[in-house]
Amino acid sequence: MKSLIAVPVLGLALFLSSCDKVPQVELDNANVAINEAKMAEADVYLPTQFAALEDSMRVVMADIEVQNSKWMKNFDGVRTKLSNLTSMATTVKANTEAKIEEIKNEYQTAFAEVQQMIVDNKALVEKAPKGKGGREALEQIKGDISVVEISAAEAQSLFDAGKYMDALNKINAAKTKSVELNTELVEAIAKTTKR
Amino acid sequence: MENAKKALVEAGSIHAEKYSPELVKQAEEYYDLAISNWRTQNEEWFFQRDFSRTKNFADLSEKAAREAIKEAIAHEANLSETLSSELTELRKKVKKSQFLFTSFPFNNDLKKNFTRGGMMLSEAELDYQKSDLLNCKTKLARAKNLIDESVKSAISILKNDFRNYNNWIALKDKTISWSKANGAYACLVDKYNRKCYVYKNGKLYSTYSVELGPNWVGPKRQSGDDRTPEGMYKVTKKKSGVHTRYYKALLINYPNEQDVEDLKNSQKKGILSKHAKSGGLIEIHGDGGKGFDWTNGCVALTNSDMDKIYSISYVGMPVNIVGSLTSLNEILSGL
Repeated sequence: MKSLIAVPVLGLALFLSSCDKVPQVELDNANVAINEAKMAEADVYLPTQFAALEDSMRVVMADIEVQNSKWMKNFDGVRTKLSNLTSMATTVKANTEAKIEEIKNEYQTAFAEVQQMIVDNKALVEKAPKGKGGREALEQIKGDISVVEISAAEAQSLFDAGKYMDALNKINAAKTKSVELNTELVEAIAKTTKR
Repeated sequence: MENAKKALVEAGSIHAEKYSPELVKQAEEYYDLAISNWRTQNEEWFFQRDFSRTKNFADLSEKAAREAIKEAIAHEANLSETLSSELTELRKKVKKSQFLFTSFPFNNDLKKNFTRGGMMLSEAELDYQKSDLLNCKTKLARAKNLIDESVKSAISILKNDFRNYNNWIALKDKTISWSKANGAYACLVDKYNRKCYVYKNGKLYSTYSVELGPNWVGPKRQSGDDRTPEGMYKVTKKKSGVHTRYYKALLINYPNEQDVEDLKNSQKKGILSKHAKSGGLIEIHGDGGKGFDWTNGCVALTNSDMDKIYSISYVGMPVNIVGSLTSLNEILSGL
């Protein structure tokens, strides 16, 4: 009697154990790809895209447990999602690298512009003794130019340390100030020329 | 679990982790606990599984995520409005205060701090445009500190420099009274406004624009300080032709007795070196019209104005020099 019960029970156990298993390889690949995106600083430069990766991983983990809850497990859907997630993470990593290059190029352009404006503004100061209401105004402009120089050097330090967004922000602020000074000086000289 | 997942995704989409980091962390931890518990229960035999703890953790996760979302939305809206207002106010303050640093000869460090503050403000404005509110807040605070401290220091220096304002007004009245009582010409130089007023019989006869020494604020203390003196002086000599290199000149009696006494007192207090000298050769002279303060302490006029003043001046003519006939309150009224 016992053997009559044991056979179907054993058969059932064997059947259950042959159902689909958690796609561990695909899961590991997805985790590696997400990690690589993070190492590339996707969370810094493309935070929305990186957050989407983490959200997608949560969805997949939940789907895994949904399948684990079932008698008849089928991880095909999970495999597909993991494969897509791995692809997505690779794309995000590439997008991050492209974004960083874009920021670096933007920074280098702005830095070169600021350096040129510093030279131009110093030359304009020499030509602009009048129209500014006093020597104090010119001294202030000279002081401002030296602050721009310091700020540009600080921006370069940030750039060299790999803090590209901070560097870009700082150099853009320096550029704004340089343009302001240049406009002031050009207008002052123009007034003098018209007299 | 589905609800908890949706709540976490929603929290991520509005970057709730920036505004409510603790709640978001809590939500994520509960979610991880829910998943972990779910996994553990799934390893049990079907009839032994108990998902009540899984559900409990999922509920806690959803609750924390929703609270984070609510807090983040309120915080971000509030922060955005506050920062917008503060950025505008500080930019206005920079525009209004700029004149202080272009009108008065403050030291370079003070001026540079003001400029640094202005540039930090530009960085904060760029962060705001990119909706990076937390970085904007940090930079705005630093900018405000630099700008406020610079303006405060500048005003403090000016308050000290303008402590003699009442005396200056009294000296103006004295100049006019003397001119009226003596039926004669008298000069009054207003350094801040860069004007030389000539009175005749107590009435304003003419006004001329002047240029001064670059370090013009405050009385002249010693030789080489590039300051135009303040006080009561008289013309001691008229010079023209080969006797002056500045077209025409009126030498005044600087240092007077008060200047000599002030120098001695400053030396006694250790403010000035015992080797310091008053200097001299302070004149009203020509070759002005350069548009900035360039003299070594003299009062410069254009040659055509110098001709006019030279023609009416005489040895003994009063030349009284004051810091400003405009009060500091009036100067700072725009701030």
